[in-house]
Amino acid sequence: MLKYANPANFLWLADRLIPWLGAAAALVLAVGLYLAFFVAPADYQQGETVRIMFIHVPAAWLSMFCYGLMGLSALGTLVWRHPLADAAQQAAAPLGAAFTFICLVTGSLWGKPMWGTWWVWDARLTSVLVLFIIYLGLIALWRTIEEPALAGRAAAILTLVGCVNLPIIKFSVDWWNTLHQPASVFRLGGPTIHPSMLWPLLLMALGATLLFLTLHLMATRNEVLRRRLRRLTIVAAQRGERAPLAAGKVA
Amino acid sequence: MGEHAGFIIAAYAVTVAVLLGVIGWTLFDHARLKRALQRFPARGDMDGGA
Repeated sequence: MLKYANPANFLWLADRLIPWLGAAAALVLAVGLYLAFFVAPADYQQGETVRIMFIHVPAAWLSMFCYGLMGLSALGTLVWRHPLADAAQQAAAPLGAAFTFICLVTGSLWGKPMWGTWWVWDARLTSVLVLFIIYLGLIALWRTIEEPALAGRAAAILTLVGCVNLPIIKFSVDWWNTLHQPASVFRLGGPTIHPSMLWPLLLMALGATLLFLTLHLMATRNEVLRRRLRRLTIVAAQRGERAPLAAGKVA
Repeated sequence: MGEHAGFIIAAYAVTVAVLLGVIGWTLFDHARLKRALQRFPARGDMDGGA
């Protein structure tokens, strides 16, 4: 495993994994969508709007999973100073922001017909909004500091501080009175969702996770290439050669 | 999909749009970086770091 933590070996492995992971994600999502729309019944209370759950819940899970992954990468950056950990963390932030955005928007579109409001400042919704803002803050931090190693360490510290938000999101529905419903899949005592809806939901979550992993591999590969290009540009400049691309465009 | 079809379609439309945007940008970024790297002569000593 450590062998593939070398950036050159990682690029070799990523090139081979990405097509298979992408194809698996497309297949699982296609089956999941079929089950979600043509097999799963309408909910007895929420009616057809329950179809939104099949994208809202996977997006919510992935918004937290991605941040957890960034937390682990942050440890890799700070403890082992591994350049691939920093690249993986930087590549994950826009993906996490995208899935959190999807979670917030689909939740709002589900909330309006069910709760009668687009938004309410309850603990679950607010803590997920805070997560989205943290993602944007991390992206801004990387863009603000020009030196990648310094930016990586600063972002790693901020990422670890932000990890405190994960248990708040998870347990917000238990700790406070919220309009958002409590956990119904990962809970003590087992899921409360009927299997006819649970299996399509789990399949959609698996497909979305495979898609996330594919995108993360692609984005990390891009980050490795970007850093290589930046280094080559600097070396070319130091040797007095005319750089093929301005350094400012690759940082 | 009943009276709430608009909400359901909008939720899926936003999701597809965001995901296609992310996939498209990632592929475009990769192609751009590969093109830029091809302009440099191959240097084996550059493969060690990220």
